[in-house]
Amino acid sequence: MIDMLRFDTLRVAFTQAQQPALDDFSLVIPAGAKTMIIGETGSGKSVLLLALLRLLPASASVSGQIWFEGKDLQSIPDEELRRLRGATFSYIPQSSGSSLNPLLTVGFQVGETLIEKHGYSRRSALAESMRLLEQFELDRRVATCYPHQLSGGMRQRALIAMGMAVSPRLLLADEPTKGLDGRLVDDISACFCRFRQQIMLVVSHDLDFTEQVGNFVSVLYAGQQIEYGCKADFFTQPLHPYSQALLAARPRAGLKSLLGFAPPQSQRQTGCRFRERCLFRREQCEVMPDLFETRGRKVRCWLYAD
Amino acid sequence: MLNLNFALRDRRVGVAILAAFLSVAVLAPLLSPYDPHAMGVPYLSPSSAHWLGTNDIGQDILSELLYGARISLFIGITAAAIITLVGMMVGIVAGYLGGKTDWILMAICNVAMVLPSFPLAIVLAAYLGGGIKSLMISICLTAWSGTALVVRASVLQLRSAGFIRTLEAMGANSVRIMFWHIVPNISGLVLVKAALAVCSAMLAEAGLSFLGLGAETEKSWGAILHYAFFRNGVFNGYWWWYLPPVLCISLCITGFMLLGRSRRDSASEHEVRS
Amino acid sequence: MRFRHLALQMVKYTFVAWFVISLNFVLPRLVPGDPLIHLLGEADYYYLLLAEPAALEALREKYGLGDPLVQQYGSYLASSLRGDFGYSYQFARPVLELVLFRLRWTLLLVVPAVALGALLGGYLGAKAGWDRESAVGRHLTAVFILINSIPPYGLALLLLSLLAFWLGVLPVGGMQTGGLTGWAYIWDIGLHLVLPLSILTLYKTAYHFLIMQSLLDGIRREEYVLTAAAKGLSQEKILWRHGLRNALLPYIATICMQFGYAVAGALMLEIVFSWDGMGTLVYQAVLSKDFPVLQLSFLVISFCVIAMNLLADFLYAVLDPRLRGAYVES
Repeated sequence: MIDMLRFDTLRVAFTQAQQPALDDFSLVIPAGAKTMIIGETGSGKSVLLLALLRLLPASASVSGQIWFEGKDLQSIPDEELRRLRGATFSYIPQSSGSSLNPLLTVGFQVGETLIEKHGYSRRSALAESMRLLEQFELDRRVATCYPHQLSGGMRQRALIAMGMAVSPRLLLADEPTKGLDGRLVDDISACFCRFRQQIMLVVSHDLDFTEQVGNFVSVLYAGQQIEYGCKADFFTQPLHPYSQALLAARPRAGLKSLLGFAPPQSQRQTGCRFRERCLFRREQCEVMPDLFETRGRKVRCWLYAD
Repeated sequence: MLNLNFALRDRRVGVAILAAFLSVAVLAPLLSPYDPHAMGVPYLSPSSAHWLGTNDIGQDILSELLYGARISLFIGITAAAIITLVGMMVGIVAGYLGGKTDWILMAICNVAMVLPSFPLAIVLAAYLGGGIKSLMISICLTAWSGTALVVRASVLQLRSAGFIRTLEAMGANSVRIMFWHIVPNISGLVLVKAALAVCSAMLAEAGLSFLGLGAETEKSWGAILHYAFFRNGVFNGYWWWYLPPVLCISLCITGFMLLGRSRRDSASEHEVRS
Repeated sequence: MRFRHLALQMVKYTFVAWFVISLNFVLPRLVPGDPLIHLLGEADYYYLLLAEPAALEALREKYGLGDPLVQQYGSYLASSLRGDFGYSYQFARPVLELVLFRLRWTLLLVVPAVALGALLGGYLGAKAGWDRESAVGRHLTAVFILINSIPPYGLALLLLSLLAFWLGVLPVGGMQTGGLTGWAYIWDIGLHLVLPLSILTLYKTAYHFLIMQSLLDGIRREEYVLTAAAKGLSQEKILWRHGLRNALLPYIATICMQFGYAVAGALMLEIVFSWDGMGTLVYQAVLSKDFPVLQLSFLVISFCVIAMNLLADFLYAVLDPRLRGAYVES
C-alpha cells in the first residue's frame, strides 16, 4: 500500500513539563485504512492530532516530521497548512462543553467549512447541514438550535457531522464516542466504516468502538507508542502487557482492572515506563526497550526482543 | 513560565516603591525641614531654603508633601483593610451559610454595587462634615461589595470541594470551618483584592480631598492639590505645588497595583497557535 | 424565560431606586440640627432667615416637620413622584430643573468620551488581546495601566497648565467665551470641550482597552476557537466570527455598567475645567452646603446608572441565545 501519512520520530514537549508529552513517535498510516490510537488520559493522543494540524499552544516545541503526500507538514508555510485544514484534513474535536461556539447555531457551525472552503452559499450549506445531521439521527430542527440547547450526546453527533461535512482525504477524530452509549456507538461505527478512500486517524479509549471501526491499532502509553498491529491480531492476541491488561479490563473479559496509574510527565524515569505496573517485570526493564518488530507487528517490550 | 516571571518582577517593583513611600511616611518628622503647619511667606518659588517652595499661607510644600504621605497612606490602607475585611466576612458568611442569610446579604451587596459610590461619598461627606472619619465612612460604605461577591463565588466553589464536606460530616463547628479552613484557601485572592482596594481607596480619598472634603489641617496629597488648584497655583504656573502631589499619588497607586499583580493563568492548553 | 430574569432585575433596580429616594428622606432628618437647614441648604436657609422669615416658616409648614414621620415620608414620596424636589433661592429655579439642565452639559462630556473610548479602546484591546506575541500590545497595556493610576483631575491639572496656561493653545476654562451665536458659538464650545473631553476619553480608552484585551485573551483559549482554526479559517475570520462576536455582549454590558464611574470621572474634570455641568454644581453645593442640590444630583446620577444597568440586562435578554430554553426531542 502506498503510505500517505507518515510520522517520523515525532516529539512534542511543553516548556513547563520535564518530560515530553509525545516521545519518539513513528508510524506509517496507509491509505484507505482506519488507524486507531488507543491510550489513557495523558498518554499524548490528543497532542498527536494537534501536532499534525500545528494547533498546539505556543508553549509546545515539536521535533520530527509528519509526511503527507510527500510534504513535511511541520515545515510547510502556515498559509499552505491553513488551506489544507478544513478541506484536505478534517478534525472532529473532543466534545467538551465548549467545542462549539455558544453564540452560533449548530447548523451554521456544521456547515461552516462548506461555506469557507468550498464556496457554498449560507442557504445551501444549511441544507447540507440538515442532511448531515439527519445521517446521525438528529432532527433537522437541531440545525437552528444553539449548542447549549442540545444534550451532550447530541452535541457529539453534531461534531461528527461537522467533521464529515467535507470529504477530507485525512480525517482526524478525537474520542468521537465519548459519552455515548451502546446503540449510538454502533451507529457511529457504521458511519465511520463507510469511509473507504480516506485515511482515518482516530483517537479513542473506547475499545468496542475501536474493534468495530479500526483496521490498525496503535497503543500509546505515557507518551510512547508501545504496540502496533492490525486490529484482528491486536484483539485476539495482544502482545504488550499493558495491552493485555487493557483488554482484560473490559466488561466482557471480566473487568479485571490493572493496579496503579500511568506515571505523569514529571515522574517518568529511564527505562520502560510501564515497568512499575508490569507483571512480567525483569531487570532488563530498567533500560528503555526499542520498538521491536515481530510477525508484522511492533511492540516496545523486552519480552519480544529477538 | 514567562508570565510567572513578569508577575513576580512586577510585585517586587511594587514592594520597592511602597517601601520607599512607607519609610517616608514613617520618617516624615525626621525628614521634613519644617513643621508643615508653620506659616511663613506665601507663594515662594523653589529655593535652597524651600526645595518645593511655599503654598498660599507660606507653609513649606516639601514638608506638607512628606507629612501628606502619612495621611494619604493611612486613609488608603486603613480603608482598604476595612473594605477587604468586611467584604471577606460577608462573602464567607453568605457563601458558606447560604439560604436566607445569603439572600439578604446578596440583596444588600447588589444595592451597594449599583449605587454610584463617588456621588454618594460626596453627599455623605457633606453631611458629616469633613475630616478623616467621614472620609473613611464615605469610602468604605459601598466598596466592600466587590470583594464580597468575589469571595462568595470562591467560597461556593470550595464548599462543593470534598474536604469541606468531610469536615462537616465529622461535626466540625461552622465558625471553625469558616475561619480555620476557608480563610486560608481564599487568602491569595483576598490579598490581591486588598492591594487593589488600596488603589481605589487612595483614588477616592484623593478625589474627596481635592473637593475640599478632607481633613482641614492634616493635609493628604489630595488636599494639597485642592489648595494648589483653588488658590490659583495652577493658573500662576506654580508647577512645584501641583506636580509633586500628582506624582506621589500616581506612583503610590502604581506601587499597590503592581503589588496586586496575580499570577496569570498559564492554561495555554487550548490556545491556538497562529 | 429570559424575560423572567429581566423582570427580576427590574425588581432589583426598583428597590435600589426606592432605597436612594428613601435615603434622601432619612439623611436630612437623621443628622443633628434643624432639619430645615438640611432640606433647604445652608445658603438658602440663612438667607431666608434674615430676609424672609415668614417664607421660612411657610416652608417648615410645607415640609410638615411637626408631623409624624410616616406622614412626612408619604408626602415626600408624593412630591418626589410629582418631580418637586424643592426650590433653590440661590439659583432662582426649581432644584430639579437646575440639576437636569446641568446634567445635559455633563452628558455632553460623558457620552462622546465613553463612545470614543469604547471604540478606540475596543479596537486596540482586540488587537492586543488576540495576538499573543504583540509587543505593541504589551507596551500599550503597561501604558494604560499606568494611566489608570494617575487621578484624572491630576492629569487634567497638568495638561491644563501645559496647554492652556503656558502654550495658550486651548482655553483655560469655562464652557464658552460668551456672546457668540451660531457656528461661532458651536466652535467655541467645541474648543472648550477639547481638553476635558480628550482626558476623559483617554481614561475611557484605557479602561475599555483593558476590558477588551482581557475578554479576548480569555476567548482565545476557548475550545471553539481551536475548532475554528482546525477548520482552516483565517485568523481574521476567527477573530471576527468567533472572537469578537463572543466578546461583544459582555463588552457592551461592561460599558453600560461602567457608566456610573464615567460620570464620577467627568464630575472631577468639570471642576478643573470650570465646565458648567453637574461637577461644578456639586462642588458649589458642597461649599455652600446646599443639601437639596447634592441629594438630587445623587438621585439623578443613580437613576442614570440604573437605566444603563437595565439597558445591559435588556441587551443580554434579547441577544444572548444561552438564555433560551433547551431543545426537546420530539
